[in-house]
Amino acid sequence: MPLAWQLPCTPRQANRCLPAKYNKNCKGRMPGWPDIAMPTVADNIVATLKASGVRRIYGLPGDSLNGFTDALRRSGDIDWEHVRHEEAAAFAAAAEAAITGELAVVAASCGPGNLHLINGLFDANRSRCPCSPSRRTFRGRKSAAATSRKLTPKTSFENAAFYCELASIPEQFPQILEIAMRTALERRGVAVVVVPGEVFLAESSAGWKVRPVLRTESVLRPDDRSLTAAADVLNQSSRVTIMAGAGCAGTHGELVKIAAALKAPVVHALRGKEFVEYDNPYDVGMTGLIGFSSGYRAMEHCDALLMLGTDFRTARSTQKVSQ
Amino acid sequence: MIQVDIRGEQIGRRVPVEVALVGTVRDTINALLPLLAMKNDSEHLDRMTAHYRRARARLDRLATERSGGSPLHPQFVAATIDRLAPTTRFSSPTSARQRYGPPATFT
Repeated sequence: MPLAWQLPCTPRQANRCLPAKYNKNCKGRMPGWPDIAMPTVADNIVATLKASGVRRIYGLPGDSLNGFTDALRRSGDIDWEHVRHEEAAAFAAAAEAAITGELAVVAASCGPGNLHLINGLFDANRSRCPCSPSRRTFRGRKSAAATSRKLTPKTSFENAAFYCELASIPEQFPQILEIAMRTALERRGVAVVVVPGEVFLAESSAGWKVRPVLRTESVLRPDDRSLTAAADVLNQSSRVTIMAGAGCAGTHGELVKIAAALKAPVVHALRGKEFVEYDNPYDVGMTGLIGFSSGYRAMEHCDALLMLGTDFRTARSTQKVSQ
Repeated sequence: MIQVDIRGEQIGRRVPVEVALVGTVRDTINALLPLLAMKNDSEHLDRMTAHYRRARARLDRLATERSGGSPLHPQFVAATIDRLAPTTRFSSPTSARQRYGPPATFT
């Protein structure tokens, strides 16, 4: 019987796991059995991801994830990026999200499969922080993890994600999937959807209309009173220093303009380096844990510090300035 | 201290902030620029950029080759790779131990 264990979900397993109304679809998904018309939950997930511009999914197939990878195979629209360990998949997806600014997707099976994701997901969720409008670094993630006997992925991932929900029956799916994708995009962080293996194979609910979930662009600025207050401080100071972080992505031109107007040296945080340092006559280097002396000095000697899109975790050096 | 961030809850998390501005960096700078008086005194800027050039030169000196069989300085290795393959991307797993550990040696 070894072959049976490699199949996505045997009819007998499905019969054990699900009420009768979900069972009939499992037959259609077995190799060699005729296809049936209604899409499965996994089919609709793939269709939603494709409509939302997802081009690849990172992961390691097998076990409870098979219903999903089989839907991917049948649709042929989304590439499967195979890894040897789910942690690599999560880091790869985080890197993709950082580079493209779009939703990146990683999938893992039950038990150790989804626990392996956790380092990569924590990294993705933490690094999201400050971003600019033109090239946002969405760290979007939708993890199709499946439940295991003893593990409860929902509790495991809650600290690593902005949204983490278990979809235990097919009817919950359109909402949970859309909320997860929207949360990942809007909060630029991780969203996790936990899916029992059988649910992937179940027939999707009739009311599920596949819709794209796309990133948004906004113009967002402070009100005039706040801007006047900031301008007053900057105009009255004779030694302004700018501290710039990853939130300056895509705003190099504006950054150099304001540095020129204020005659302000520009210090950068580690994650701002790639957006701030190049072609910048006002650049005075990096500060922070692995920064160096000139960045520290520019903040130490200023009488007003303008922080742009930076969380600046090693804030000790600004304590003097702020007093 | 003035802090600009797209997420208001990030402001003032590390240091006390006098003016909190919530907005994207681009839109906020564009709205702020017309309100700023162009400064002419560049003393602060000149001193800081001069200090930066000195600090930069000291860092660059670490990336030069040393004779006498001394261990290779990591900066020298990185600078050599950068010189020989400027457009190639390398990646390696980093950890605190690798980053701050003893310098590599050729055997």
